[in-house]
Amino acid sequence: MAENVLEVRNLHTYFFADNGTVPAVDGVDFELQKGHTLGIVGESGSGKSVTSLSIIGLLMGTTGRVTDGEIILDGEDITKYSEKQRRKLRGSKISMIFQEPMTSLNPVMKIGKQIREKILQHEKISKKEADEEVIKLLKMTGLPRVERMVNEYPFQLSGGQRQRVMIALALACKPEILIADEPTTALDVTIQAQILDLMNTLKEETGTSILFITHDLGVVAETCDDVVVMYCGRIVEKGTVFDIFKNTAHPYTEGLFNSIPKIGVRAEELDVIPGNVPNPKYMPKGCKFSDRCKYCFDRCLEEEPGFADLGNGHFSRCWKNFPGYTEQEAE
Amino acid sequence: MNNEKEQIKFSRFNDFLRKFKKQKTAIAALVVIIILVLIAIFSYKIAPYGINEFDYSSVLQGPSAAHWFGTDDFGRDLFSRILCGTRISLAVGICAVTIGALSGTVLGLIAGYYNGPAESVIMRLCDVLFAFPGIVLAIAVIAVLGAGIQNVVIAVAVFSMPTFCRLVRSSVLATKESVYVQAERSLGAKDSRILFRHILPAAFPNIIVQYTMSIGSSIMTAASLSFLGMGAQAPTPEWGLILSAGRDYMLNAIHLTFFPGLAIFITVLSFNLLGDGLRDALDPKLSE
Repeated sequence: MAENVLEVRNLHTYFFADNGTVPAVDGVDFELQKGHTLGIVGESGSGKSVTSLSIIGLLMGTTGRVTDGEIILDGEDITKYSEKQRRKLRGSKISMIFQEPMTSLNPVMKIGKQIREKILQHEKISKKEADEEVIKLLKMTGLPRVERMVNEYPFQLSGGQRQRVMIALALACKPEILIADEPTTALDVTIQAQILDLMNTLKEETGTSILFITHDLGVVAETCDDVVVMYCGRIVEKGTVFDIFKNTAHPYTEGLFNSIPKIGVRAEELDVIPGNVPNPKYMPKGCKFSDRCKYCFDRCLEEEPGFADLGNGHFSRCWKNFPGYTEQEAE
Repeated sequence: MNNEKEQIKFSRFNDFLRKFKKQKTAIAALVVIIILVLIAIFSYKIAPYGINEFDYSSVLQGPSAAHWFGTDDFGRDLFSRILCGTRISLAVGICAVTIGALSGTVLGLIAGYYNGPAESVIMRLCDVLFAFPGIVLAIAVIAVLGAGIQNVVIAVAVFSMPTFCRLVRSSVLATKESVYVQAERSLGAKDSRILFRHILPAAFPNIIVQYTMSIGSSIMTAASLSFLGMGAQAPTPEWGLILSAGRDYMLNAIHLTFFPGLAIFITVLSFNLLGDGLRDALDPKLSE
């Protein structure tokens, strides 16, 4: 068992609005192992992005707050840190890549300067050494004509190139954890594959652990070692990527797989999960997924299930997965 | 290799120059402003007469070869007085707007970046200042501080400050939420760094344009205050004051009001036209 670089314990992040409190993340537990990639999967509004923002501590400026739980990094609970201590962690221990490579670089600052400033901020080296470091980093991400690129502005690069620059920027200070919030969503498929390859290679070279947030199960299969499936601020299933794909347990995960169009099968209509994510203010009483679940039975409407242990670290939050569940009960 | 050489390195300054060169009126305005600045510096050397050189034998004379702009009720040469007045008007305009721009920018940055009580206090203060017409506000400040050139500077600074404050705040609000600022934060940047490295530069084009335009209107306000007797005191050759003194002789010596008025008009117009041109050259959204 590899050591855990990051443990999230019972994390609750609530948003406080004038017209009520919204539990965006409601009791989430997971751990990220050293050198591993953990995928967080879920549809829009499932709380995956809020989880990542809670970890990196970028909730300020919103009405959101971590109300309970622990985020343990290197054995220390960072939710208890002051804002100043949190800021020191960002960049050096945890950094983040965003979804929009088009807008995540400062449009009026040269590429080289943006990365150099980041390095100088965390390391005490001369400008010249930093410039060499910049070239090295950019070359590492497989960018061409790096020496010229450092003097260019972001608008002169393509989306894929910019995302590579972002990756270089995020890795500039050798963080232990890289949070990638849908880093390939805005890119076209071939570039997407290249970026995923790059992230896999860099993970192996640098030993950085990656927290990969996505709604694309294809991307998960390609990059992740472990997977957490989130729904309505809760984890509904977690396990190794193999278990999730081969021994899918939770109906929601099953629904996600069914809604991927299959090559070679011309279906009249795509098999989707009916309905929408429920409004956090009007959550179903029992299982959060009950109103959209095709297996739903009486107990689901009354009582929310805990985790059913399916062995080998594979858990599912569904009554169906508990021993003793019978078909009759479903009727 | 050849192709590489042909690719001219993109530079923001060159891009700005290229666009600015196309603004013919703005360039003309810039030339006028440069001439005005030169006059302001060398006025006392090039003026044909002293500013307080009385000549009771030629009082209230119209323009002539000896006195280009004519003479006033004390026989002083109007041309020399207006030349020397350039220094006062430009100095007052530039000083006042600089003070107003600096304080307004700092307050705008604070108000835009840190929401909460600081923002409310600063923006309400600006709202209060905005509620008064500029000249009334300036008169109120003068009423408190007393007449005089220095107090005119302070008064004009006070009334140009809220414009900068609002401008910078709105720019900060827009930039603050952009993904690259979020990204910068996710990499551990301090607030001060985000403010001065990323947010302020984004607001800069707006500040420059507003700065140039404000100088024009500030010169006007300063002249108005002097005209009303609350700014420069006689015998200072301030344009507004000369204009005010010439008012009594408007029917028989029109040149006493015409020339100082023309000087104010040309100066204010030049700054406004330059500001216009700068805006067109600095705004990436305006196509060429």
